[in-house]
Amino acid sequence: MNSSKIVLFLTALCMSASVFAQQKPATFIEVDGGASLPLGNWGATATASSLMSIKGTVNDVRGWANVGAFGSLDGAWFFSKHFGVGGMFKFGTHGLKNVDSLSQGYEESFDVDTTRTTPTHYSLWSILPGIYYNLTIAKKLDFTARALVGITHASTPQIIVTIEDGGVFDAPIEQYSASKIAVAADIGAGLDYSVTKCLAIVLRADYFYTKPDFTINNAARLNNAGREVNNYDQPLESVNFSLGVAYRFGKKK
Amino acid sequence: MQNSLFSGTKLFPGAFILLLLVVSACNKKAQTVTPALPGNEFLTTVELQLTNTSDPTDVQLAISTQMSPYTNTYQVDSIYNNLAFMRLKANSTYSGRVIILDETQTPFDTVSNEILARENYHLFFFEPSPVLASNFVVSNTTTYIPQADWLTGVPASDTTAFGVSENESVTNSADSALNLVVNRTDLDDNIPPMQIGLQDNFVTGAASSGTLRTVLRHQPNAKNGTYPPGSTDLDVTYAVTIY
Repeated sequence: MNSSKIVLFLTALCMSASVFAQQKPATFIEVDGGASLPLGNWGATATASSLMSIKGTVNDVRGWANVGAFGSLDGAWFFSKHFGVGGMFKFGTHGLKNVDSLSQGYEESFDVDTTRTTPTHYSLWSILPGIYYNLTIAKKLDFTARALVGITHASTPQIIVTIEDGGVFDAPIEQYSASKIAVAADIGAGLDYSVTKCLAIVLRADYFYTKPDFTINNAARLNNAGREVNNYDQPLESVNFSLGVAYRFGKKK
Repeated sequence: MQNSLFSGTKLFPGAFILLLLVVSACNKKAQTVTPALPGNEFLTTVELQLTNTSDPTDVQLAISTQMSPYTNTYQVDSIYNNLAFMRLKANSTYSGRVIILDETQTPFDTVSNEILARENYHLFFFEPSPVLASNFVVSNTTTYIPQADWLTGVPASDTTAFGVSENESVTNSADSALNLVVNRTDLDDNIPPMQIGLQDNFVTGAASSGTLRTVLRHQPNAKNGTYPPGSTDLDVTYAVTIY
């Protein structure tokens, strides 16, 4: 099937769907990608000196999460002129920021020559069904909003700290990755600009919240010093900005 | 408009591919290497201060230092051992204290206070030599140094006080052994607590002579009571006479 046939097929699909759409916004699916800005303690970091502990360990509430990237696939079916039901599947990751301070906190706590810190990243898979709202502002421009509640499978980063002193490398300090499924919510709004009968460019901003309460395991911590996180019960909340493309199964009325 | 940017046949799959690229681009590991902190102190002088528990006037102070007595400056490649000796009464118990100084500072910096603060990953070892084979038990509660880490190839020119060789040995005869046993008496803040060795008991037997090697091991997140983990912060040898 060549390109012209595909265009004809999609056009026919739009027209046929529009017969049933009547006054309701068209059903759509949408692909988005964007940036996620972590909020609260999740996105907080610390200075090395505040992580230094030579007697007893520091249970750090800061998440060190950096600005992350995410992608999502969502869609909705409208049962009235403004309201519909739909859902979103989203995957996002956040690396760690200020790892140098994190690393130096271990270095000062254990009074060693060098530390080498290798973190992985947070990852979040979300399935979020909910309510969609649509309001036509202009011929080609719609305001959309959504309130979604579902579940998230979140994972914390693995953090490996290799410590060297006097040329000797001892067993690394290792904070294992932890995973948890938790209830999550997403509230957002956006603007849809129609570029063809079937396609629209979508700009969105969302607030995302989940609180997984991770239990975190660590490799053998023989000595009572330095940062050691065994439990992370802080919200993973973020503001997400995305740009996407929506495909409408039906002509916009 | 088949080739337009907004062509429906290209834009939607293209956006999906872009999405995959965005997600996969973030799946990487970063690594940060933090260099050494400036301003670490020197360990210029190690003193063993021993007090006879039955006779408080019997106090021994053995000193090993890298401070030149001639220039009063730190000598990185020299150890001055002329005061690195102790004379202990036979069949006695001495309470011992390790004092570590940084004499490059004015006034002197008592580094052993810093070691005490960082007790959770520091551990002292004391190796009498010649050691009686039946006493020599390496465990996570004894102060002996594993034989593999003994000084055995030290040149004859490298001696401690009175020209006594620093090489270590084991003997089966109590007559030729240095009859000295050192036990640590202080505990750190680990869970469960482990010994430190800044405070010790020195228990003497019959008259004898030999050496006592003192090693401080720095064992960051590795202290388990044994000698091997970590690195050595100090390693000095004293001449011992039990009379």
